Amino acid sequence: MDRIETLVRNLAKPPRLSIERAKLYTDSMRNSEGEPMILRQAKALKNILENIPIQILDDELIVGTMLPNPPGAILFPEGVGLRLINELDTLPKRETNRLLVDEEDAGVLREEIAPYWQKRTIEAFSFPLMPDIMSVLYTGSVFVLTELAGISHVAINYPYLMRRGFRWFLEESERRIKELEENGVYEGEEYVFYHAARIVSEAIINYGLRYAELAERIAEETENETRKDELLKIAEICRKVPAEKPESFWEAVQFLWLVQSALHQENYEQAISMGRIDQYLYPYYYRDLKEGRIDKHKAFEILANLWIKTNEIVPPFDSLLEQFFSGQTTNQALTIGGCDIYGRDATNELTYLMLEVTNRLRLRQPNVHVRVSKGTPEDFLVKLAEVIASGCNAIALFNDEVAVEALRAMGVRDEDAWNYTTVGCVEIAPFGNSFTSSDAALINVAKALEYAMNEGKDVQFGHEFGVKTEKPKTLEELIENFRKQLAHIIKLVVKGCNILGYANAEIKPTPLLSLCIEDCFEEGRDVTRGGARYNFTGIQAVGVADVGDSLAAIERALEAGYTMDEIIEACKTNFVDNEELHRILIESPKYGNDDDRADKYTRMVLEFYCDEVNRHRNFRGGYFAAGCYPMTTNVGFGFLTSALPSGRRSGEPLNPGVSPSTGMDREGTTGVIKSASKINYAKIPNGASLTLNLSEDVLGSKGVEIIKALIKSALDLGCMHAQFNILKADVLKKAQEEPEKYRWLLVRVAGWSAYFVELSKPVQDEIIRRVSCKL
Amino acid sequence: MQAMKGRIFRIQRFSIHDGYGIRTTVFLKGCPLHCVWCHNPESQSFEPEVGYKAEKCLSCYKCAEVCDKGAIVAAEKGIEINREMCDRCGKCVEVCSGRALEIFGKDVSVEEVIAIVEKDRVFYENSGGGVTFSGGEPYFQPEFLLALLRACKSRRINTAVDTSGYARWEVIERTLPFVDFFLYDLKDYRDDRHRRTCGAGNETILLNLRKLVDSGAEVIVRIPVIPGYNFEHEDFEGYLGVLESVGVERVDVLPYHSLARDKYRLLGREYILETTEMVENARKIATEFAAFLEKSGMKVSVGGYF
Repeated sequence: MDRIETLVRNLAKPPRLSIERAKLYTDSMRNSEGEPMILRQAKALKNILENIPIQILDDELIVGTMLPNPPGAILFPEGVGLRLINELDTLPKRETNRLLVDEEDAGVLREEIAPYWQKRTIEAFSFPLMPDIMSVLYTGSVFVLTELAGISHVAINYPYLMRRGFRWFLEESERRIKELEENGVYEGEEYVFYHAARIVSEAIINYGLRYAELAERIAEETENETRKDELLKIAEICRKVPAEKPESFWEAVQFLWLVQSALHQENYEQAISMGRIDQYLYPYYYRDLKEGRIDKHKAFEILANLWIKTNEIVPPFDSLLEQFFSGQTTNQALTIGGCDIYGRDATNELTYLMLEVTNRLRLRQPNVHVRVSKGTPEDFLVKLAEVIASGCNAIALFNDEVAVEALRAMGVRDEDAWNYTTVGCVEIAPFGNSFTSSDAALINVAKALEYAMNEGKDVQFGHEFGVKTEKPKTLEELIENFRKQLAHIIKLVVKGCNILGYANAEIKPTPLLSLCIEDCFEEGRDVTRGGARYNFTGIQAVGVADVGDSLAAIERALEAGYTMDEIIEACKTNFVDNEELHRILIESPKYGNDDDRADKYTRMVLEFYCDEVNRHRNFRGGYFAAGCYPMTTNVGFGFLTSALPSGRRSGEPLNPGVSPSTGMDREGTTGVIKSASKINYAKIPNGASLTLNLSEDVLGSKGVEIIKALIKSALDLGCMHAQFNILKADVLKKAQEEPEKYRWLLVRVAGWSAYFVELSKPVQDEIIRRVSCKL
Repeated sequence: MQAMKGRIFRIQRFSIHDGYGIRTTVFLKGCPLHCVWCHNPESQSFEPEVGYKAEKCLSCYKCAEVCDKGAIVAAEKGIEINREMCDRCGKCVEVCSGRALEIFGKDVSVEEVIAIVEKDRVFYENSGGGVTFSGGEPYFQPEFLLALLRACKSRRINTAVDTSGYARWEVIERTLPFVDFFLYDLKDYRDDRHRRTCGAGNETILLNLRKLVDSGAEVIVRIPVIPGYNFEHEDFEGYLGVLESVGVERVDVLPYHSLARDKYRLLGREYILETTEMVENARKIATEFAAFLEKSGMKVSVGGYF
C-alpha cells in the first residue's frame, strides 16, 4: 500500500461529533467574563490550541489534525452548533450525513456547554434587534442568513503569513503595545487588538511545538528507520513553522496546514479557503527542485497529504440545515492557474501538479478552482479537459477576464482584481486583503414573484411578508410589483446581515483570522470590524431562471388570450384542472436554450437583483455584493414555493445559479452555455454558478476534445464560471438503490462537490432528472 | 431562391456523433429507402406524421373533437389513431393538453435553418465542427439541400452530408463544391440482401460511392452492423472487398441499438427487430469488425465518435 492509500484510509471511518473544542472554548469563555471580547476570544483559542488532544496519523508528512480522532465535526456553540442538541439521539441514525455521538459527550453538551451559551450566542444577541426579520428567516421560505453561525468564508493570505512567520507577529504586537503605552494608551480597540494578536501568535507557535514534541515522541518508539527519519524531520519542521518563515516546500505546506487547522478552531468550518496556492508555493517548489531538496514525486505526496487533510472535518448540520446545505462539505477552496496581477498568464508547474493530485485523489475536498483566461496554455487546457472528461467532478473553472471585470466594477484596484481568488464554492474576492462574507445570505427570488402575483402574500402558508402591491393585470405591472417585492426582501436581508455583522463583531471577533488578512494587523482592527482592505457581504440569488421563464411564459399565455388573473389562479391551484394553460406555460421559451425571448428575462431579473444588492452598504464599511448560486437551497426554497407561471409545479426545486431550470434545457450543452453567456456578469462580483451536465455515454471517446471546445467557447462567449458533471443516469440510480456500493460517487451539485449517496433524496432525484433528460 | 422551403423533422444542436467536433445536425424529411432497422422511422415519409405518446395522454379527447377526418377515437386508455384516415393536418397536435401528440415534419426556409445553425458558430470554431445534413435522405430534397449547403459555405461553416447514396449522381455532383466531407452509408455490400432489407438494390449506391471517392471528396463510410440482416461473421471479407475496390480509407462502424423502438411505437408502427440479444451481438461483431478493418489498413471508429 502506498502512502496516499494509507492516508486516505486514515479517514475512512464514520465521522464523529467532537466536543473537545467546544469544551475548551467554553471553559475559557466562562473564566474571562467581563474582559474585552477580542481578548476573551484570543484566550479561548489559546486554551484550545494548547490543550486539545493532537495526533499524528500513520504515514503523514503533513501533520495537524483538525479535531481529535478525525474525521468528524467540530461544534461551535457560539454560533449555531447547539442546534444539534435536540438531535443528538438521531444523528448516528439519520439517513444522510450521520455523525457518531459519544454518550458521555452528549451529557457534557447538554449539561455543561449548552446552558452557558443559551443567552450568549450570536443568535441570542441578534434576535432582540430584529425579531421581525428572524420570524421571516425561521420559515426558511424567503431567505437564509448564515452569519448566525459566524462569518468564515475567506481566503487566507498565506504568502503574507509565510513572509513573516508568527514570531514576527508576536514581537511586532509587543512592540506596538509598548509604543501605545508610551503614548499613554492603555485601552481601546487598537490596544486590545495587539494584546489579542500577541496571545494568538503565541498560541499558534505553541501549537506547532506540541506537534514537534509529539513527532519526537513517536519517533522514539518507531522501529522503522525510514519512518523514524520522517518523524524527526516533521519535528524539526514543526519547531520552525509557523513561528518562523518557511524556507522549503515541505515547510511551507506544513506552515499552511497548521494555520489552516488552527483557523478551524476559531472560525466555523465553512469556506476557509487557501487562495492562489500554486502561485505562492511555487517559489519554494522551484528552489527545492533546483537545489535537489525535493523531486516531483515527493512534492506530489506532500500536496496529496494536504488535500487529504482537508477531508478531516465535516460540518455538523442539523436536519434543517441539511435541507439547505446538503452534502457535508466544508468548501475549503483553493485556486490554481490564471493570470498574474498584470493580467499575464501565470500557469506554472505546480498548477499541473495540483491538477494531477486532484485527479488521483478524487475526494470531496478541497474545492479545486481553476482560473483560465485567453492566455492559458493550450496543453494545460488539454490536461484539464482530460481530467474532467475522465469523470473527475471536483473541479470548477473561472474565467479571468469576466471575474476581473466584475470586481473592478466594485471599485477593486486593477492589480487586486487580477489577483482574485476563489472562496468557498463559486465566490470570487481579491486575494489576501478582502473579507467578503461571501455566503452571508441566500435569497429565494421566486418568492418575490409569488408575492408580486398575490399582493404581497405567501400563497402556501398565508404569511404576509411582502409589501402590499396591487393585483397585476399586465406583464408590466407584474414586473413592477416584482421589483418592489424583491427590493423589499433585499432590504430585510441587508438589514439582517448588518445586524449580524454587528453581532459578530461584538460576540465573535476573530483575532487569529485578523492576522491572516491584510490591513487588519497594520490598522490594529479586527477583521469583523472592517480591518481588511476590501469588505463585501455576498448575498446570492436563487431561482432567477424560474422567474425569467415565468415572465416569458406569461407573455406567451397573455398572447394566447389568457388573463393575468387566470394565470395567477392556475398557479395557486398548482395547475390542477388547468392542463391546457399549463401546457402553454411549460412550452413557452425557456432559459437555457439560447432563445432570446426567454434569456432576456432571466438577464433582466438578475440585473434587478444585482443593482438592488450592490448599492447597499455593509457593517464593515464596504458594499453588498451580488452572487448567484444556491448551495442546495434551490431544493429547500423550492419545497416552500408555490407553482410558478413557468409551469414549475409547487414544491419542485428552483433552478440552481445561472443554470437552467431542471429539464428545461432541451437544446443541449451549447444552448445552455449560450444562454448563460447572456447574463451580465459585470454586476455579479460574488460569483455565479453554471453547472454543465454531460453524460459519459454521450461523450464517448470524444470527451476530451468536446470538453476542451466547450471550455474555450464558454471563455470566448464570456461566461464567468463553469463546472462539469460527467455522469451516467443509470449509475446514479444504482447508487440510490445501493448507496453502500457507491460511496465514491462524486457529483457537482451547484458550485461544490458532494458524495452522491450523502445527498438527501430530493437532491439526488433532482440530479438524476437533470441527467436523464439529456440522454 | 429566397422563398425556397424544405421539409425537416428536427434540428439537433450539440451533436457529436455525426462528424468532426461539435456540430448541428439538420434532419431532412423523406427517404427513398426503407431499411427495416431504420432508427429514424419518422424520417422515412416525406409527409408530416403524427406521433402519439400514450403515457402522456390525459384522455381529454380534444384531439378527437378537432379531427375533421374522424381518424382519432377514444380507446380504453387514451386514444387510437387510424393512420389511413389521418390527413396529417396537425390540428390534433395543437390542442393536445398532455403533449402526447407531436408532429414530425415542418416546412422551413433556408434562412430559418441558417439562423439556428449560426447560433453555435463559436463551438464549431473551437472544436473543428460545423453542420451535418442528415435525414431521411438529404438528397431527396436536392434543391433545398443545395441551397442550405451554399448558404453554409458562404458563411464559412464546415459542412457534412450524411447520405445513403441512393440518389442520381448529378444531384450529388452539384453539391460537391459545398461539402467538406461525406458520411456515406454502406448498408450492405450484397445487392440481394440490400434489396430485401432496404427496399432497393445497392448498385446505384456503390456506383455513386466510387464516383464520390474518385472525385477526391473526403468520404467516411458508415456501416451499420445489424446481425441477421446485413451482417454475419462471414461478411467481413465482403465488406472489405468493396471498401478496398472503391478506395475508401475511413470507416465508421455503427453497431445496432434499440433506442428507436419507442419511436416506432410513437408512430403506431411495428418494430420487427429483436432487441436485447441483438444489441449485445452487434456490439461484439462491430468491435471485431473494426479490428479486422484496422488490420487491413483502414482508419476505423466505432459508434460515430471521431
